[in-house]
Amino acid sequence: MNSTSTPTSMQQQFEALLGANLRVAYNVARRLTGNAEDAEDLIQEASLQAYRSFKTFEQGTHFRAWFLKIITNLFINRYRKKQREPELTDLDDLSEPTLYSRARRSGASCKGADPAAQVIGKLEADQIEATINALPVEFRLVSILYFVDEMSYQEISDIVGCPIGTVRSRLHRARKALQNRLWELVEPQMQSGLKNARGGK
Amino acid sequence: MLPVLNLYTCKEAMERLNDYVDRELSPREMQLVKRHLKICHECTKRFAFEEDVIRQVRSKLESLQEPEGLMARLSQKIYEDKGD
Repeated sequence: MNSTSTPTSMQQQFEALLGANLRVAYNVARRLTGNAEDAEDLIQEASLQAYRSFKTFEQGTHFRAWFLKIITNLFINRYRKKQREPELTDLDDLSEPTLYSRARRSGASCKGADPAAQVIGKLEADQIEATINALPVEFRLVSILYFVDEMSYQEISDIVGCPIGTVRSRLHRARKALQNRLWELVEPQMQSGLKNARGGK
Repeated sequence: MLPVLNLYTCKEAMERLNDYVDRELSPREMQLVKRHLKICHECTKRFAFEEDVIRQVRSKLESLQEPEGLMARLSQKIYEDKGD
């Protein structure tokens, strides 16, 4: 920050940056906490903390990454304690068949040009959100930054404070687990559709 | 002397599936995977499926609108916190 800034202009500068990044920050907070009330509390707490240390923020650096890092640290340190977290070992066995192989066996890949749409298209947005929210927090965090904000491994690494290799590993495992769990949701519909198609012949 | 590797096998390409769809491979590895996909229909389908799943999930997770008046409430909290 410019040391000659008056408090008022500093607040204006901070709020201009916060306002420009509020949508992304809210989306990340909303998906981390799982509800609107806790998301607003988290954003509020992060905003106060960020403003208090705004003097140390270097102009020209990435405000969004800086602010998201504050949000994720706060979430991990405070909000996580309130929630019952699944164990890391609960994450699905990576040797399970992939969504691709399951979709193929169900016939999805033969029926159209876009088999992924046939599978994921059967799910509602809240089912996908709930599935991501059910991941252990370390995996949920990287998944949210990846899916919601489309961040690179390096950007995620900077925010969560883990080596890039750890981000890569968590993200790949999370994606596999997510696919397995989404398949469990959609499988009855896929099988029912297949039976109807066979019956109609 | 190391052999010159101009083509990936299916196994080598599959090992790079996630990094490929995330555009996190080195330019050389990207080139080798693309070269493999040009000649392997099965891997092409598999890679396209993975990319489509990610795209589908992202499109389902629509951007949520922040609550009305949130920025004003944050501004007020910051003002109060400063002790002005």
